[in-house]
Amino acid sequence: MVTPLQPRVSMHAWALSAALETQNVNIRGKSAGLSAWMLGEDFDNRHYAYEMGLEYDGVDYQRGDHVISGLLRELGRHGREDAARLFPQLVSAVARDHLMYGRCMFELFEDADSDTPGPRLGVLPGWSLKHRWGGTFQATPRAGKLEWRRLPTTALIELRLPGRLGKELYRTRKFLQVLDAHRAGDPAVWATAQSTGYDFNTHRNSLDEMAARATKSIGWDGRELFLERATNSYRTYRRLQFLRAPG
Amino acid sequence: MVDFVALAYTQAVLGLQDYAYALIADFPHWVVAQAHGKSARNLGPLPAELLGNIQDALKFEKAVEGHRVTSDANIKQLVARAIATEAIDEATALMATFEDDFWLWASRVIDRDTPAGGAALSRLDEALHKWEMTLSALSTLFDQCEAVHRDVDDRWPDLSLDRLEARRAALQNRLRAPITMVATRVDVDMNPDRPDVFGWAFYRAHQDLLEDVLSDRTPVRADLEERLRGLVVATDRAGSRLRTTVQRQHYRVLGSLWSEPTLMLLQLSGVALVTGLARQRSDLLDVFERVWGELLDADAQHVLDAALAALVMDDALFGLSPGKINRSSRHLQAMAALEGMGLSRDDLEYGDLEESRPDLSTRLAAMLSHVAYSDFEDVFVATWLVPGARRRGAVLRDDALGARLTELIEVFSDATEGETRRQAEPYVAGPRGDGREGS
Repeated sequence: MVTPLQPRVSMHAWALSAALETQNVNIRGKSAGLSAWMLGEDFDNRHYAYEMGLEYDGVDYQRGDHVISGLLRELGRHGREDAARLFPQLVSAVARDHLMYGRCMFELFEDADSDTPGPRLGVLPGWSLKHRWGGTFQATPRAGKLEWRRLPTTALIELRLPGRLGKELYRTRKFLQVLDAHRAGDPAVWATAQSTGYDFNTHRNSLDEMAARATKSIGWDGRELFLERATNSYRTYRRLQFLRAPG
Repeated sequence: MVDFVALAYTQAVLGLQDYAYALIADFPHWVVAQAHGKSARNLGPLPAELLGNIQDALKFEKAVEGHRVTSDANIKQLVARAIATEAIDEATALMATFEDDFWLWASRVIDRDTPAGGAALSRLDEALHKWEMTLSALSTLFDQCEAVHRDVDDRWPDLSLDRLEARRAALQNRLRAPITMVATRVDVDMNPDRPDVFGWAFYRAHQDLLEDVLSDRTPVRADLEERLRGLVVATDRAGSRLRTTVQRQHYRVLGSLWSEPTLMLLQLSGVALVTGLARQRSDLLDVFERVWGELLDADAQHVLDAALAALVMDDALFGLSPGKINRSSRHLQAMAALEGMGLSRDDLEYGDLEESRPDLSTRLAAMLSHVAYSDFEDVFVATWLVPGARRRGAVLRDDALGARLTELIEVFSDATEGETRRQAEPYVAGPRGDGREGS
């Protein structure tokens, strides 16, 4: 039996981000640290499938493209976009959510006002969700306060990454967050290195090595921040590994 | 002082050469070994730092990945580039030091015409000689570095040594005139505490002139005539020094030693005569004719007697002497130059030049056949000096001649004075019979 799609329950991601009431919750997404933030950005900026195209079975190309672009329209950044361009963004959004929150969920709903046929995927920012007692709740502003609204289980779709990649990403982000907290960036501390006898070079080398180990499974090169000691060959190797990882 | 600085400079050039040879040995295998921590070679600062970084990078990727990612080919190329860059920079800087700093100072000392100037000149000449070997070693090193240059997008510095070689040759040319000047002016007395500057300058000037004569350079160097005149003076000085210093020998040995400087001058003139005629170089022949002509004009009988005496004394010594070995080496150089003109020694000695090279005059063919198994000195005396001296009234005393020389003079004496004169001018190929009256 096919359950008919219901109207949207969750709040649109942009409206949620703009609301004053959610700012304290949203901080989860902003405090991940520089490295994790850059890694998330890189998932958006470096796509392996630049030349990807779609083919439709059973419908003509124009209708197929219409349906898919309607389904994914919330992932677009520039209004209506071609379906083939939205797919890589779906992949990077899934990867990014796994990186930041360990899972990635969307709400599938029917939009009666939409000018496109078929269902739509509603983006659910990971920072706005809470999973309790077998249900999923979203932080929603209401009359100047924040309330946790239960989202209908039947409308929720969880997208997973192949193999252990999702877990690897989340683990990597956690590691990087810890390492970021130990970066010796204060020039004043560096200046006192001679008098204190603390070897900041060893400190930095150790952090670089740990960061490289933490990102080894996904191949991210950290924009070469922690690959200062590496040869060009190894940097290229890491870049290729990264392009393969989130596909 | 300048002597010591020149010596230090020569050591630096030799050091660069040794460095290049050390790197060439077993290259590029030692590069990989050194990148993995083995201390295989002592390197200059640039490649040493690079190798240190590579060692660190390899440790880093081993620690992260558990295995090595960077390939040997990459390591070789990185280090080869650093080595080549450093070596060409060092060589260029070392050459610039010679040209801009050292030469300006040394040339002032040389101009003062002192024994120290002569010693400095000999050191400079030695340094430039060492440069030749160093450039050869660098050329081999750069070839090996380029052999591991796989990534063509990786731009390397210009490793051509042509410009350095041209600068070295230009410096060597600058030394030629001062060397001859030293041979004409420096004190000939030998001092056991000082190097024999006169002896060195005399031989060096001779070798320079011989190379000029054999090089077929057009036009001849502007200072060639002046240097030849200087060499005539140096020949007299060398002869008088030998007469005062070499004694207590058997008179035949003594005669041979005393006559050596004259024989070298006659040999040089003979080489110039034969190669000048073969190459039809009137400018070269004119230089030698003017210098010898003036000598004969001054005292034809004395010049003739001295030359004949030198030849006879040389013949009288049966055996090897240092002078003979030296002249034999120069003779081989001249024969190699003739071979470069298509006149192989076998053809000259056993072939029939009239058939194989109909373009040569009979007189020149006879001269070439003679030098193939005998000396340039004889040819010069028999074909040019004797007729020239006779023309100026000198008398040839038959009793002073050996059998071989007598025969040779007879072979070439059929020519009239006018014909003899023509031999010293460029040979103009005419009808086949024109140039064959001498045989």
